[in-house]
Amino acid sequence: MPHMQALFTFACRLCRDNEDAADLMQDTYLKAFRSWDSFQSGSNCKAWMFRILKNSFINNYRRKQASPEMVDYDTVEDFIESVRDSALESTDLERSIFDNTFDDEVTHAIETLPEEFRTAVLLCDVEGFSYADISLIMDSPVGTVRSRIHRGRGMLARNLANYALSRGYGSKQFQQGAI
Amino acid sequence: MSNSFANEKRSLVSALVDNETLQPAELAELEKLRTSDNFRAQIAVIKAVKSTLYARHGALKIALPEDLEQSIRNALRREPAQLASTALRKRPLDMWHYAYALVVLLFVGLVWWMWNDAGVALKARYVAGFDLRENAYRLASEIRSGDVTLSIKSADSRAISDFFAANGGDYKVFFPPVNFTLERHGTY
Repeated sequence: MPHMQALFTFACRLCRDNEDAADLMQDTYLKAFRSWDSFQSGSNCKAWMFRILKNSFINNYRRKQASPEMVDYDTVEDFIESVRDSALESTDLERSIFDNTFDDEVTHAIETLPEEFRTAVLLCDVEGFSYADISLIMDSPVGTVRSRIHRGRGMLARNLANYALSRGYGSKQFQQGAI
Repeated sequence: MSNSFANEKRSLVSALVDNETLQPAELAELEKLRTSDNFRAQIAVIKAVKSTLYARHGALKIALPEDLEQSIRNALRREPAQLASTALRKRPLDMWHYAYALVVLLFVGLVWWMWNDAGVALKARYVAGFDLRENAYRLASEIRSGDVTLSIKSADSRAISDFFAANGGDYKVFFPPVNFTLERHGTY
């Protein structure tokens, strides 16, 4: 069945519950089957399926989810300010900040993002969609998508750096920084 | 982050890292920011996050439950039947609407026909024709014996039609069976 793995991973990230994700998957494929006539030949089928899944999630599953803690973007900006010198000096910032984080920590860092930011970042960085496709999936203007992706990445960076620091990793700048 | 890096400009960093198409004005703005330390730090952080997620792409995948694909396939197999049953539930309603419309139309047509002059005349002609045939057969023996006097005796159907027309009927052709019966009995 097409795009099943990608859709299920995305559904799990949205729902934060594998059983809900499985139900959401079934809804998605049924809706896709019913509305196959509305699919425009030649357009991005994967993006179309993701859009159906996203809309189903909004309509049927979002209300079940507890709202994640919102992150003030200023604190993210503080983080970027704190790593600025490190970032300018390092040619491989990932190695110096995030390389020591575990997969679980990356997963958790993603899941703590507010839904709209999490969705935008996952669609862009994990699924590789263009901003135009994400705009279609999220039913938002491209400018809004761009802003969400950027802010989501900023929040994710701070969360990942926090994990690294909590286990004694990170540059001197982090330890002296504002995070 | 300094105030110089305005909110609307921040996201240009991600667009640049993602190789997204930018407007000329946005490219000009990025060109101005190229020497900014904040801008360069943003680029480095965003690239780091993006590459981290890309590198963990495989690990971030969540294994599909074994029975998920089968359960979806089963649901999809049931779907055409459900769609068909839904369509069938709708179809009788549509047919009833057509049937009601047809009945109403026929009723209106019937009323119009009954009240129409042509309808009334046709009805009268049919009833009169029926009476004529019945009376002709019933009175055949009286006519033969002379107990019933005929108003007109003629083999000319036109003359008979004229007679009926003069007396309130509009029969144009005499009924052949009656004609034959009367002739056979020698009355004609």
